[in-house]
Amino acid sequence: MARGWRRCAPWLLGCLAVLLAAWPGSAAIQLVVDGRPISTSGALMLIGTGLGISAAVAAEELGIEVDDTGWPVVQLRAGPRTARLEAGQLSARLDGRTVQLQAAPTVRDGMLYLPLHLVADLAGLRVDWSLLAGVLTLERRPAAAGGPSGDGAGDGSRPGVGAGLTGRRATPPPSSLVPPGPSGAAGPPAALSSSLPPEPEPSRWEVAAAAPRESREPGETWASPAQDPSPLAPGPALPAAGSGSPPGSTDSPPAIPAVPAAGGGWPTQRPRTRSELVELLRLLSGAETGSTPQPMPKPEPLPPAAPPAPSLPSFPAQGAVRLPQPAGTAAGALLDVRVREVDGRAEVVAITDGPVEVRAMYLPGPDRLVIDLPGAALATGWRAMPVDSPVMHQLRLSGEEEGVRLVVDLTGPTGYALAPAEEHPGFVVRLNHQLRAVGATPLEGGGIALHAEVSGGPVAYQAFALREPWRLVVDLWDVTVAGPWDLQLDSSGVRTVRVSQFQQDVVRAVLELDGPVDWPPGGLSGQAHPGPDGRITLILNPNGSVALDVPGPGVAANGLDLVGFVRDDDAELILLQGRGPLEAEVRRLRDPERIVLDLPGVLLERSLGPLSPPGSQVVTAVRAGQAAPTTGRVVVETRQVAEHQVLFSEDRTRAVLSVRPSQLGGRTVVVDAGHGGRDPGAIGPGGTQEKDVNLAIALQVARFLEQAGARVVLTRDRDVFVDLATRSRMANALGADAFVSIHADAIGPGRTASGTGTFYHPGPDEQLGASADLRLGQAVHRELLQAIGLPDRGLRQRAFHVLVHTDMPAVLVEVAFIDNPAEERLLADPEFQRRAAFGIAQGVLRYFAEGRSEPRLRTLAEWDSAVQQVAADFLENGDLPAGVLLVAPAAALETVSETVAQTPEL
Amino acid sequence: MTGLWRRGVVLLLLLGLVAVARWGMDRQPAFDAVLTPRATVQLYFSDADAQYLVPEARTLPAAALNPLRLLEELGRGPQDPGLRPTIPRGARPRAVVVADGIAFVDYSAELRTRHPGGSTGEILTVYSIVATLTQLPGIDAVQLLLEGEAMDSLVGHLDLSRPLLPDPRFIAAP
Repeated sequence: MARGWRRCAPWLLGCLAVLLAAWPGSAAIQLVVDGRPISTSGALMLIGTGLGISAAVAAEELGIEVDDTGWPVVQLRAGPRTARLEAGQLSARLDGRTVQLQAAPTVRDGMLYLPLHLVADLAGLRVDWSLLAGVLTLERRPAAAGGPSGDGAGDGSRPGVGAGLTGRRATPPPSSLVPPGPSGAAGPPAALSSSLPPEPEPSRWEVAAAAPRESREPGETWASPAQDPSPLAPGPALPAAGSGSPPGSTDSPPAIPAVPAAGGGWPTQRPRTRSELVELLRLLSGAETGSTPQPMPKPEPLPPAAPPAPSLPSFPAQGAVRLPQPAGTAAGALLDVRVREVDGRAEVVAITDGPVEVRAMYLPGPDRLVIDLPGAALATGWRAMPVDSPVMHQLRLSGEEEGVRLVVDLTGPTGYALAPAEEHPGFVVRLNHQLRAVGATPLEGGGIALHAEVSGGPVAYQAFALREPWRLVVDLWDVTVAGPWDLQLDSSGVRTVRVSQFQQDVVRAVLELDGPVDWPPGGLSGQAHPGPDGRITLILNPNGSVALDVPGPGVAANGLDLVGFVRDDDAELILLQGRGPLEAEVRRLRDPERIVLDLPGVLLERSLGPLSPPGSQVVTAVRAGQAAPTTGRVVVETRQVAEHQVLFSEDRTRAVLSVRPSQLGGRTVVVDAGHGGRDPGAIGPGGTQEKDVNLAIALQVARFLEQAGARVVLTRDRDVFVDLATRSRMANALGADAFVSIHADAIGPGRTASGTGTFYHPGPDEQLGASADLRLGQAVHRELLQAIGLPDRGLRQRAFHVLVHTDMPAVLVEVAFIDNPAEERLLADPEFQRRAAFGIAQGVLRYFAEGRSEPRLRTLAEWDSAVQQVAADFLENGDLPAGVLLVAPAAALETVSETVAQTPEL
Repeated sequence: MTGLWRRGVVLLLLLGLVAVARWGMDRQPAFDAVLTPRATVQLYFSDADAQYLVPEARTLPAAALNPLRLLEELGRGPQDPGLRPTIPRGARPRAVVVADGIAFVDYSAELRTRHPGGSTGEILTVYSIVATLTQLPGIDAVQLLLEGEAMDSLVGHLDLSRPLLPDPRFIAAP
């Protein structure tokens, strides 16, 4: 018996080994898909009472889309068929039917396993299980298999991607089977449909770890090259070594096969450039969606000789790789287009980062202005922008290879003038006013009132007389009329009025007179302001020899009783006395340097001024008039860039505009409101969007800095997407002296943070401790903390994009945490926004003031109190200071009688 | 008698063999755990104040010591309740390729679309990836990509157009 036992023992042990080796769940089962062995040893696993297939293999080899983002629910899709499984559930839904599973989907060792019978059913696989051979064969329908091979099986490009590279299903244990060799002896038909030369393949990661690296220590836990069954001999195919292509094939374009074998192997061909690597990654990632990966062309190394690269016909629709253009490389990019109104005229302002060639043409039907910038690149984050303007309703942008096209969609025929932009590289398109109707009213005593309905104002005019026959000619400047027409008047003195476009920018009205008039030689000229009904009225009184603009009956309730000028110390004050509470919107404009106060709801019955105060340091002229039907305007022309500040009395019926020479000397500050458009930034628990807060604060920072005499450009002045490179390009193109980026911070759910953080990044040539960036950061951080009083998160150095790519001192402030409910409420509060903006602006001023010997730059707060003392009497009691000069009306008014003729609306 | 005895022994042994095999199969994970070489790595998560990254040790099978696996582990979040995850839910690492010491890391779009935003949040996300990967030998810097495409920034602050080196200022002092 003992002898028998001894005889049996080896046999039994052999049986045991064979059984264990072939047992489901052990790693040694060979999986064959479409005749191609899959070596991933973790491909199969016994789960429950059935066989499970790794989700990675199902996705990559069988083309099944696996969506486990809703874990524990797993959704599978193969073509039109879908299945829904849930972890721990033995029933699943297959195409809407409920089916019973032998096993629920299971995660084991970091890999997700799906019941094989369900997967096979879903994908229409034929399953052949040979226990003796230890081989599980899955056969797809022929159509689902890879495409025909172009150059045989030895090409090394196989469908399927190593499981280790894609998705969360990671690596096989080190006991994995030997995969097919690089020459593809056991290889499947290649999916390569073009005849690209064979190429060694870069491959998935886990072997990458095993790639021979001299620096690696032997005791480490990586799989060593010896253990790993990498089939590819490393080294010889390195393209950098010039041996990436087989000998003799240098004239054909080498392809990055980029599709690693199922068995894997570290990239023996190292991609040459970053874009190739990116392309490789894109391909690898794309393969995860389950489609058969295709070989892809790589950037042509030999442009002239190389044949065209093969296209990617069946690759999943993922856009081409777009590397962001490094800032500042391509000159002449269009960075943004903005709309503004200057003296009542609409202007389209284009900001570029270099000189551009501009070609403009007007096209009718529909009326539009087409502006081409040949050779320019488009860097704006928008392609169409609606515009609220009387003369245009939309801007459109398109970028082609030949250049950029800007289309201004007009509301009617509109003339234009092109001019270079003053403040930055780029250009300005000034649009004419549109003349929509003309009427004439005879006046008592032989005069005539000419009414013109225009899209905006004020309108410059010139009126003169011609003899034999006697005519009065009235030219309206910067106005376009759709077509000429005649107006018959049955009045004594004037027979007809003919209106036509005299020059591109001039509309001429010719009034045929009955007899000679006494008209001043050289005629009359001036500016006519539109009345509340949008009409300008010119009183043409031959006998009185005056031409006046007369607003029609007023709808604006408020008015100005007094506009005065007084000098006090180094400040020069403009005093305004309103009939009711005043609101003022202040802007600084250039050429000539002037400060414009728009007073909504204010009607000036007559134009005032201009008054040129003698002996003033700053102010050269003060005038007032009607800017729009319901908006009055006071314009203060200055000799130089001026600080300005508006203060109101308690009841707001009195206002003082204080003007001083600016000590900033017109330094340029770019204010950057973070995010915008499709990028909302962080979103608070109450729904406040960071982009809106940033913009609100940035607009106020811009206003404070302009008041102090800085030239301010906003990277965005509205809710629009601007990419990061464009922001810094804009600042660099402007040659700005400082850059301030405004943000609100967030850290994500489950916790709260609080406070204000400021960030800087020293320039490449600057020393860490003494950089201008640091000084700007210190100044802004200190003032901002003082202004809003939130916890101090410190001034830190960070490589933020806008800080790295701007050439000037730059700072980024995170005002507060928008995902902290308390701070979200603050950020949404206009008063908090104003205080934050004040602090930021104050910090910028302090930075500019540093290092200056004399005179010391006043802070905004100091300045505030100084002005208040001077103007206190006027503001509190309405007492006019001694020496005040009143801005007088231009002339007396005439009354206007009824209109006898009126053109139809155009 | 002897023949019967011998046949009985063979039968018993066969039965025993099946039992042993069955037991071995059940215990396979345990065997694997014992037999597989394991290694300890650090994953970097955010501290509760979102000021610093804090390492948390993980013991992984040595064979799983690859960047993709580390990123998957990072995406699962911390075990220490005092720490916070840095990777938005649903963001998956899609692929990693290493060349010249730079790990090109491709993430799914959720890394941006489900990101809470804010420069602090962005730094924690990006540098937790950088810190976790650069502990692997052969990885000196990390270049992030989104859906296979290069990006200028993840959520509008950090410059991600070039590879990032690990930055010890973001790591909490032990």
